[in-house]
Amino acid sequence: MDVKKSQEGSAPMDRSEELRLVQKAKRQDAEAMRALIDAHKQRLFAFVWRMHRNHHDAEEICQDAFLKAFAAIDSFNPDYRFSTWLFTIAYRVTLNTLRKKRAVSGEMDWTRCASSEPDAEQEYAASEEASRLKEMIWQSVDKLSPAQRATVLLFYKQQMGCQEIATILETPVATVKSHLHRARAKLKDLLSPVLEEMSGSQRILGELAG
Amino acid sequence: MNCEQSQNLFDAYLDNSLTGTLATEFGAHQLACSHCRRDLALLEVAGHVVASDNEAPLLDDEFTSRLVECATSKPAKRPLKFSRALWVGLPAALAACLTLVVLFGDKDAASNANDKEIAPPSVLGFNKEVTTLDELRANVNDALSLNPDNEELKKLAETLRERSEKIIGDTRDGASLLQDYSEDAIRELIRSVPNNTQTKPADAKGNNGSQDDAMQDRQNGSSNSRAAKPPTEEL
Ligand SMILES: [Zn+2]
Repeated sequence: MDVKKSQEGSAPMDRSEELRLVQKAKRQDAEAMRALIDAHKQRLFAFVWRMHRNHHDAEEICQDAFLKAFAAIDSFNPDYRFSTWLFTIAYRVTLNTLRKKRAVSGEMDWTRCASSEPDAEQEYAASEEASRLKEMIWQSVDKLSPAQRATVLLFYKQQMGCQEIATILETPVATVKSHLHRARAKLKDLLSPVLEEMSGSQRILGELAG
Repeated sequence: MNCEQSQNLFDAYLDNSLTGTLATEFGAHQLACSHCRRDLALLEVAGHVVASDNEAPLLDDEFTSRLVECATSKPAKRPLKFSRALWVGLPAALAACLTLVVLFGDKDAASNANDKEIAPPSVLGFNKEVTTLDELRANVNDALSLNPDNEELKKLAETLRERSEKIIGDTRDGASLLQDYSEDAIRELIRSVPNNTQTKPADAKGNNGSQDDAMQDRQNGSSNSRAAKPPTEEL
């Protein structure tokens, strides 16, 4: 996987180190909190930002998730990773925010936020058509239901297994597998016609396959 | 193997769980069928694009400091920069809650709340904010038990019951709920409640976790994977 630069902060934290920091955070140790935040913030933010495509909302949700996590850190179950717990809280807040938005403005207007700024380096997706397909892939991901979208992001981007995703989505593993299956089916339905009208589909796919 | 059978195995293939003869047959079909081959490649590419995503903007440097300061200060305050929702929702909640206090609640608690800058509004004797739908329901039900004949309270209790059944497991904060229930309706209701209701403050304990849990169970249909249950969302 050729990720050109790490935006995800430090490498995954060693489990015993994590537990040590959690213990200290329970005693309101600012440095421990700082270390926990720094280790997880960018990864969490990337997930939430992809769910919302809105910097302000995503930042607010991440902030809420951390504050809720610290406020209730006494109830943290050490059998789980801190990140799992954090993503669970963030996912809940995300769902509530999406619900409120829908309540206020009907369906989300994805066209407003669908296109992010073009990648300056474009390490892959060299050709125009490959770039277009890549953009279409994200637009299709945006069209998935929140649960399907979260599943796809956690599975592919965060490299989580179905069990961990089930914990985060607070749903049975079978439901996660179903989300993944339906998400793939929908992506295929949305993207297949796009690819069909592109000339040299094999080459385009080859470019994006990295 | 036909195309339908092949497509049904896409998940297993993509999750690396396709083995044995099925894997061989699947592979043979892909070699022979350009349609399936293309769809499969498309899904692989979609997964790859998501996996290699690094377009999320970076959080600013102050994020951590702001949060640490906020998490360690007592009572926990929220950084102003991001509390738009709070400030939009709070006035409505506060107005409604304080009105409730005047009619149902402990008068001392209400005046204390006015004295303290960050004191949460007290509702029906709770010295805490109405934070969840369940909590609001509990409060209204308490008020109803004191005023069993109040039609408006009955209506509100019923609305809240329907709402919480419709949005199972919902943890929306009380502020936004009050907002979209309509502040006017609540004010009207409060005005209509007779004054003999300032007697016993509602029981502030045990109305949160158990109801939340029950709703969560209904939502999940299974208690699977609940050990990491995070805190109930609060305002
Ligand atoms: Zn086929």
